[in-house]
Amino acid sequence: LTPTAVAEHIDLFRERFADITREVACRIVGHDEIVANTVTSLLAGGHVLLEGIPGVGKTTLVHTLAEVLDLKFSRIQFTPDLMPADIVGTQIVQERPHGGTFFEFQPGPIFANVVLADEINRATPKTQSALLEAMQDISVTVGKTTYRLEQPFLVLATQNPIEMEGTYPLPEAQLDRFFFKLRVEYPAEASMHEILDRTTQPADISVRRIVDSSQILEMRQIARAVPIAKPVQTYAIRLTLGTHADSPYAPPLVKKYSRYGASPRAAQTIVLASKIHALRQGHAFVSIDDVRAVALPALRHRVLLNFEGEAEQVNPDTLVNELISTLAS
Amino acid sequence: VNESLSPAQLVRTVVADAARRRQSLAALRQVARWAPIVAAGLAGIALVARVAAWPGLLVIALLVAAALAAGGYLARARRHQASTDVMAAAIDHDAGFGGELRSAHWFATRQAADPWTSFHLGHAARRVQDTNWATVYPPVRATRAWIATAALTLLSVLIPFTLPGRAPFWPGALSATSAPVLSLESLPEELRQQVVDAVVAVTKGEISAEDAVATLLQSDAFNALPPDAQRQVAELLQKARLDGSSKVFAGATGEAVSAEAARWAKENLDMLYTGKDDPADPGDKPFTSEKQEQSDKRNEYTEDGASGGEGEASDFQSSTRVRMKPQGNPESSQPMPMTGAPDASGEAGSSFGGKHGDVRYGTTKASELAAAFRQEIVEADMNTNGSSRESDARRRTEQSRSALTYTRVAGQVSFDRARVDAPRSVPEARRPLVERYFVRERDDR
Repeated sequence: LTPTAVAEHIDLFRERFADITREVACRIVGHDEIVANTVTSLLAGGHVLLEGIPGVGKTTLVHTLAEVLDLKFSRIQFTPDLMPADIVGTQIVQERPHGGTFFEFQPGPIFANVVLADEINRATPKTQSALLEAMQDISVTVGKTTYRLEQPFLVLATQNPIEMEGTYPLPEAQLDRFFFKLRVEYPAEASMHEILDRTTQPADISVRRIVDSSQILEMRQIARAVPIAKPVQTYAIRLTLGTHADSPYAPPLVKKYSRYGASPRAAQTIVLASKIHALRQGHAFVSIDDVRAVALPALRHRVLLNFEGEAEQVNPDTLVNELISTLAS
Repeated sequence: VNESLSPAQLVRTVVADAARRRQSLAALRQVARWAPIVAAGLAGIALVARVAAWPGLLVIALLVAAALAAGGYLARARRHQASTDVMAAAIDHDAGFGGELRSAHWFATRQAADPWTSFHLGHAARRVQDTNWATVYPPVRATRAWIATAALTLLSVLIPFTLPGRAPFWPGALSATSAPVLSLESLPEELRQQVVDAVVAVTKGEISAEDAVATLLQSDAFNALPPDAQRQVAELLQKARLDGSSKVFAGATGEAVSAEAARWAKENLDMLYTGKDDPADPGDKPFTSEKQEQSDKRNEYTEDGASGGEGEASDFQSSTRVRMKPQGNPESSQPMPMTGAPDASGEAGSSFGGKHGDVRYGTTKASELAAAFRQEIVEADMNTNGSSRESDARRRTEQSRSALTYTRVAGQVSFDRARVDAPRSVPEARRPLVERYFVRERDDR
């Protein structure tokens, strides 16, 4: 690889990323940053937890993304009676043409490139944990057989923050497996006009395929090749450590309200996402600004509040923003 | 920038140079900020030194020290240092590299053959070459600060030379150029007595300092003195007039007189408190009885209404009713009783003179004793029956040395006639009674 080739890689990555987000934006209005972070998560090999009130376009976003990326898409509507086998698949008895029976594995909806786990917090923890192995190892085990999932594999889970009755909050272990937690905010008035114009006309807006799975995997390799200087990496590590109350890098707000901070997986997330963020800017290096740009979605769901923080309904975003603004680079 | 340098070397060199430039500019900015303040402080010190008789060389020394400190600070900022990540981060921020220079600097200090790193370093090197560092770190423009510093420095240097003051420029110049301090013992016997008397008279306000000097100028002994000594005597008289206290005299005329006066004052104080005369002087009358007798006489005299302006002299005499040291023999320890000279009183036999001005007690150094007693004995005399706060305050007030001052004065009370109620009218039925009460009929009988 020559420096010229590196420059071409950077340009290629940048153009494809811009094309993807631009195409998704044809259907999704006012959520450019959400779209960019979702694509970032996909290119980093992570999964995304989308949180937002109903009707803001979470499911539409996932549908559109699957179309643009030309990936196999499946949707799982999580309900309290959903069983793990409904997700990963099950063995069913089949008859042989010449007599006799045998067990045949029927893959569940998890066998797709983009899986939409809609309202994931409505299923029982047992069912939720069925996603754990798939999200982490990109494989599922049914009986004694382990099945590899097809790459790229992306789980996009949604949850509703306002209807908490009859829900099962995601356990910390599962939350940590999400690369980003993105808050889908209510669209602005101008965006609402655009949404109505696009969705109330006779013809649906169609999106075109931008990249396929092989190109996505190529982009993943490019992203991981971006060098990061030790001082910048140190900053990412200190950001992660700063979410712990007993850390010397923790600001007073974190010391007061944090029960448990981010895991080392958070540091991996920050560095990977920073590299993709740098490539989006056309840079062959990672800067402190790149780290800061991705720190909030990477850390907000990994900071667990203590009793005092829960009682005072402290938003974890406040703690992370305080940490980002106070930690010296 | 040397074109033969590799991108890594180029980045390191540029960061090091930029760090030096940044630090030296920051140091220069600090110097420009503090230099006028320090120069103003030095000018103030020069002024104070001139007034307070400090050597003028002190200001020059401080000026040199400040210049050396500033120069050392600037030189330290300009010295070559190994570039660090902190420096690179600061330069990156100043030049708006967006983190590229800092990252490239870190990779430049490592041996990495990664194509991505090479591309990164090459890109960063091109950017630092294209950067106009003179715009990133422009020269410090502090014209007003430099002008102010120069002006104040010049003022600091000129003050010791130009402003009239008491301080000599060189520390040793005082002893080398000024006249020797006047010593009373060095004066001729006759002139010494004249000077002492003049000081006492001026201190008491009997004559002005100018008149005293004019009187002294009529003396041949005074005219024979060197001009410096004459000037010092004149200054002594001026100080005596201003201070109004013989402490000036005692302090200025040397330790010998002061110590002598103090010793005599102490002995007389002892006599006052013990009520006994000096056993070494059996010829003296008991002090208390004599004082009581003279005090009675003074009271009678005062009641006759004839004391007039003699009060001060009488008080002074009564307070100095103590032993005197014989004149002409300062070393002698033979005391003698002090009595009023016949010519010292305006009234025959009263022994409480003052009406005719000059007070001389026999042939002793009355003026020296007067000075000493005014310093020591006056207070003791007024507190013979024990000191009290009231008498002390009164004495201080009389001597214009009271520390008490009025801090505020009540406003003038105004009388508003409109707010005054009119007296109630007398009922008609009672008017005759009132008239009868207040109007007395004439008794023609």
